[in-house]
Amino acid sequence: MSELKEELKARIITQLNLEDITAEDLQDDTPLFGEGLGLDSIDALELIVMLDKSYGIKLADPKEGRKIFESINTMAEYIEKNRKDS
Amino acid sequence: MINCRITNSKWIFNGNTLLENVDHLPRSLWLKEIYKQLSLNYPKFYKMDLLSKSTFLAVETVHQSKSLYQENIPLIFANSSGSYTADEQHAKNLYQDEDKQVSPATFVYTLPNIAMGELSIRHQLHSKNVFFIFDSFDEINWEEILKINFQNSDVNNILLGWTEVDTENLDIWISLIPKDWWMNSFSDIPLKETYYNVYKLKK
Repeated sequence: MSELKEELKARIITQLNLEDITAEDLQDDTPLFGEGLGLDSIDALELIVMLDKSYGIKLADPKEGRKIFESINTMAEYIEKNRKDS
Repeated sequence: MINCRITNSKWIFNGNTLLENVDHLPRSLWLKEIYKQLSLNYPKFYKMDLLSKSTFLAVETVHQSKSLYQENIPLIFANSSGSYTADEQHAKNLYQDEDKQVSPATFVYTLPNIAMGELSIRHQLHSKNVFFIFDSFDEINWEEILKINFQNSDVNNILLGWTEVDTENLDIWISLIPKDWWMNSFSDIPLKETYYNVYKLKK
């Protein structure tokens, strides 16, 4: 799981062009939206595409994303349960 | 009148060269250098396309001299290539990449007026805006545009922009026009001078 979390941090930083942030800055429980990392709705779409592309997970209901994308912890947990890439 | 020019080689404010791209940095790195010089802390900048980035930086340069925050300032912008670079990248994602994945972050910039949206978000502007497509800077009737927008309105300043970004060049011109200046001394000669002086200036 910790390997997946580190992988997720690297992917998010690259995919979302978070140039000033390193994987070390991003804690497992940092809120990704709002007061935390400050991601926006376009970033949420990028994360949905990333789930599909990298882990074979299609979100049937985009509203699900609100809980899944709360933090690296919640994303990793969801991916572990639902991934179809292995 | 306050103005800023950004090209591939120079960053100019009110006729003074602030920085030259002596190392011939690629455009994204050159714009990042200007961002650092402005001491900005606005992470969303990194996610923007080249058109929005360069427009944003030129307007920030003006803003550091005269605050635009929550002002009723019409934004009248134009260029000749629209959002070509973002369109091209989006088309590449769709038709050329092996996995054909659309990127929402690219797609969102496939309209040139998004650059004005970025400015409006940044400075909380609720003013009107319009984006024209013309073949060149000289084809725009700036005089008429200013007249229409200053007459019969309580607007005190107008932000004009020629924000052209094609496959090779940045050609950004932002000018804040105060109503007083327009009423007392307008002619399009100074506007054209601020646009063309980039080719004459030396550091």
